Amino acid sequence: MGWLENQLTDPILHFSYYGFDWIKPISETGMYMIFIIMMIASIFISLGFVYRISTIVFFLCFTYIELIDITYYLNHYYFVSLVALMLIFVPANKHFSLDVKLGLTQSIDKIPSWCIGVFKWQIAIVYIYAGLAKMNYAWLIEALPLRIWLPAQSELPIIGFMFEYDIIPYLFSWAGMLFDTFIIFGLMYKKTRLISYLCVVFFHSITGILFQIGVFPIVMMFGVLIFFSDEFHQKIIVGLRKLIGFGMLSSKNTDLYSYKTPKFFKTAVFLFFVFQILFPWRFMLYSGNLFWTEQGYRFGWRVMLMEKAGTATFFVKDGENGREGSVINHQFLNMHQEKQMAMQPDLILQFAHYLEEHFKEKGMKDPKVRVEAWVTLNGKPAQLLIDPSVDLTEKKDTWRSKDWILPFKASNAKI
Amino acid sequence: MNFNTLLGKTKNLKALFLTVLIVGFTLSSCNNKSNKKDDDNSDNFDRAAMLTDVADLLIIPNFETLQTEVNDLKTAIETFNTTSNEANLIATREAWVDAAMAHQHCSAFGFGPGKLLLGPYASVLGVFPVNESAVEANIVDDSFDLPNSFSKDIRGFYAIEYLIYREGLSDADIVSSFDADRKAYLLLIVNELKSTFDNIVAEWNGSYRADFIASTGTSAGSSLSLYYNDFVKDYENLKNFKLELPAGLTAGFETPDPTLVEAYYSGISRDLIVEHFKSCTNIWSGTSKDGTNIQGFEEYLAVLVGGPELATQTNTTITQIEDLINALPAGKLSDNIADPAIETLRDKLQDNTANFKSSLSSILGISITYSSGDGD
Repeated sequence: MGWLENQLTDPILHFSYYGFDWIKPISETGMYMIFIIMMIASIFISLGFVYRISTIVFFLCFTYIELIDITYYLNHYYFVSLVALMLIFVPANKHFSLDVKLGLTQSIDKIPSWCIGVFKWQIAIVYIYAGLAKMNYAWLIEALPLRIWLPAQSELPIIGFMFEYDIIPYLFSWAGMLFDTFIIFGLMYKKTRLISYLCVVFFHSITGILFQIGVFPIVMMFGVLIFFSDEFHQKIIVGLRKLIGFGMLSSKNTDLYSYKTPKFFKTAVFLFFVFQILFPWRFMLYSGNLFWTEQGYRFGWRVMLMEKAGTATFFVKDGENGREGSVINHQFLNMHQEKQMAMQPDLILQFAHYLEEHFKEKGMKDPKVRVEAWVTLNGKPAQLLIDPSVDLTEKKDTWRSKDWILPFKASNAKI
Repeated sequence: MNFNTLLGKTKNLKALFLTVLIVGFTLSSCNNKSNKKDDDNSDNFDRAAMLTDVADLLIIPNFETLQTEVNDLKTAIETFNTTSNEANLIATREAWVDAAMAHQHCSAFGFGPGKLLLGPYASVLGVFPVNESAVEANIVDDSFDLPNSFSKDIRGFYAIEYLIYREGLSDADIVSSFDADRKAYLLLIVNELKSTFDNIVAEWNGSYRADFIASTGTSAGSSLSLYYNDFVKDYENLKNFKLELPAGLTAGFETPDPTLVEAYYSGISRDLIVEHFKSCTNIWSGTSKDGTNIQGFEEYLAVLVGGPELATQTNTTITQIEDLINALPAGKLSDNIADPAIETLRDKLQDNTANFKSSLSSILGISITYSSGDGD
């Protein structure tokens, strides 16, 4: 009765990513196998052993697990998938690796700069977009949602007492925005690098303590080391070599990494980043409050940006006799799924379509499904998210604006 | 570096320092003003005090009452088993009603000691409808082993109710139906109730109380999160299983089914609904069973962003629900299961679900699951 069963194999239905509804979980044993394979692959990647295959396997396994259910979506998982994808194409096994030691590949001392640049770009995108996303009225002027989240942490040892003070959420909001937006520039220059890195450690430690964000702080603390000089990394490698007695291979081949970057590959890298830079802005094509409608919200590095929660009650009407009954959500969904679904319009639609199928199978000829979804955003009184009169079985999820989402009414209530 | 540039730098630094200080001071003084009201209500809510109140004045006394009622029920059953007559049957029924009423004030506390091997105690010992044929089969099955049975619809409060009320039989017939096997089963069931609540009370009065109060966080698994989650589930159970399902208002059910109500045999469903909702409002507002005001969610909200608005809105809805509960037709709920008053009440309970379920946890900053989403 662990995490895997609860999240992946027990649920009766899974919420899919747009266009990926063909991704399904396999049997419990199979899922365990995938996790074991993924673990072995990641160990192999660290050791630089059968590197290319290991990176491909890791990327596929991780992304597969990630794509099973969108209610578990985290920007961090997306980040891991992107980095894993890039790892496939860089020669990270051509120095200080088992592949070199075993003669599976030739050792080299230099690589083209794009091999490091892609990771720097990736990390820069994560931070800068996270910073830009924080430049909004609620975050900066109202200090929301931190004004809700921080007082809840007042029992923490040592730092907990701070959260009794009203100024703290404001300081944290502004510091968070400035940190995310500018930290990359600090890391880029040698003079400011060390102090910036200390900021990174401090910032991620604090957020790691405060919020349930799992492994992400660790990932970033180690990930940004890519911004440090080659001498710095060389020192680490020398130190590690001594520590494990891995032989000081004085590589004679100091040639540039001989990989001839094909033209299409350059184009692919270019398009990869163009996509990443443009895709988060797609929300501008939709009308309405982004946090409310969440149209164009995901894959935009909007991390821990709002306090949102909802209660969605679905009503299924038998089109033949007009009888309408409500649905007990937890008979179909686990707590996490129900919680995430209730505040995200596209997931509400998915569940409505599931209910349509479910009741058709039960013999209802023409089920009509509507929802009353009361959603609170940043502590404001709950409002209806979806037009409760709309039959959702007639709506399809597309890239077009969802006209059945009710607009967010900014209340005058001073909070 | 000469003296002048050094001085210049110091000046710049001073100016910067001063600016930061002024900005900081202005911001903090602005806040002090706008939060004057909060200060009066004690700015930072003391969760440990709330948990202490909840343990000492709500959960423990309610479980102790239930324990007493269950013990009385056991005594009554023993008397009935020894001297089976109509008077003792009626005495047993009276004891059962008291226990069933007390159960309404505990069903929300299905965590910690209240969580049994098979789940929260109310989902094990408070299950209805009873599986009549399974109960009858168990009675005559000499090898039946209650502690090792996973069935929930053959035990607990409503299995006893089935045995001592029996639809369609006169009291005299019921008394004479109690042969040795039936008496043994009745005793078996009440003994399980007794040992369960003796144990729950002992654990709460033992080390669990301190653990409960010491866990003052808001993360998943904290006392507040457990207490809150079970409160919401219990509230939803009232709506879903005591009203909606029997009234045929659940999707896929064509018609009302009066046999699905709680306490079908005794016919006290309506009274139990009244008690159950009273228990919900006690937890919400922080009120002990004898009416003493204690620290509850309502007090907690008063000092939080968006909290007072939610409290007002919730209290308004609660008053409306209380009126609608009073407007339920008198008599047996099962006789009036198609009455439109039930649907009206269900709708109002539904309106309030968002207040309890999502808005409250959102404002209190309680994590209800271990996994997080970006949009949280």
